[in-house]
Amino acid sequence: MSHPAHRRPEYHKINKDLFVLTYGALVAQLCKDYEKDEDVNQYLDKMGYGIGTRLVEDFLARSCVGRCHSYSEITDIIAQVAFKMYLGITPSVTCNNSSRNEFSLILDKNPLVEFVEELPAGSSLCYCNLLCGIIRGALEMVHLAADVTFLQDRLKGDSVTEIGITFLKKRDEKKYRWKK
Amino acid sequence: MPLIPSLWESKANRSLEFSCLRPALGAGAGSCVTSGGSRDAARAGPPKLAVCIAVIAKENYPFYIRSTPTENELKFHYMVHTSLDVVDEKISAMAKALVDQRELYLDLLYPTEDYKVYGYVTNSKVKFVMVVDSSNTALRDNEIRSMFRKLHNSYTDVMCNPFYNPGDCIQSRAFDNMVTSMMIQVC
Repeated sequence: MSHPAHRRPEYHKINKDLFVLTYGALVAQLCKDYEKDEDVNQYLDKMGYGIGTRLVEDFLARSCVGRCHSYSEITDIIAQVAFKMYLGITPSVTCNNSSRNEFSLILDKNPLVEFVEELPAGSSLCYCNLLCGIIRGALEMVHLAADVTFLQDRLKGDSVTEIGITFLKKRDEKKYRWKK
Repeated sequence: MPLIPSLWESKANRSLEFSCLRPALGAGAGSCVTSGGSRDAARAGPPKLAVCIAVIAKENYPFYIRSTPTENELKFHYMVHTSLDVVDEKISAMAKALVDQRELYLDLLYPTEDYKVYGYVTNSKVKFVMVVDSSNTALRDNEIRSMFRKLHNSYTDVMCNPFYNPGDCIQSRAFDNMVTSMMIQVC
């Protein structure tokens, strides 16, 4: 199978502000529609899942990364290639446990929250939960089950924004081809 | 500061009785004052010379007023309120003159014995009114302009917050910090 260098020769650019405002309007509308923050988080995750399952095809076609052999390689590629390609940021990766299946992405700069001030105290809304859903959906399309949540959130007063990815063990321990 | 709706409802029936208005200290963050004009002179830039800053919506109600705490805030509110007439005059004069300006910096609206009031209007008819101390003669025109520009930029950032509904009082911390940086620091 030939690997095309680029699927599309040029990247179509849109204004980042339009995208950020669209996402903000989406979250604000969800907050109005659903009273509980947990429901909003859940729906954001579901929407992100739908996006992720489709986005991974685009990502694989554009980035042509090779096969990954470990979870840490996968996380590195998510941080350094995928985030860079779609959001323009490069989060740093840390490994949280010795069995090498829990990782954290530390985002120092998050373009999605550019215009949002701090959430009211006690709010459990994960504003960027869409990102968690996207990562989870994308990983599932390449046959990797993972749990993705926000561990820390600057909007809630923490010092950094941290996304935790926990790769779940499959019953059979076969290594799957991760062509991300 | 408690809002006096009647004051802001019709400028034609502006009453001079402000005794019911309890002056609120400007410590309140972005409290929406619909009562009498408050003078908000915010001087942006390194010299902190603003005494009062107000952001007025196009329906002529203020959604952000802040003045320095030591002064009688009521006086400032009244000044801003009365300045709205001058703002309207200038806007209609500019419209007649067919001046095609993108942002209307209205310059000095009127001077009083202690203060000068400056105005700025955006295309969306949101007005920024600033009251500065007359005694500060070092203030130049471009400083005032840059202060208004900063105000306008902060205001657009507040508008972009998805949880902010247009027409609400501005309660953004970033906006407050920016206004504080422009106002006279009173200990």
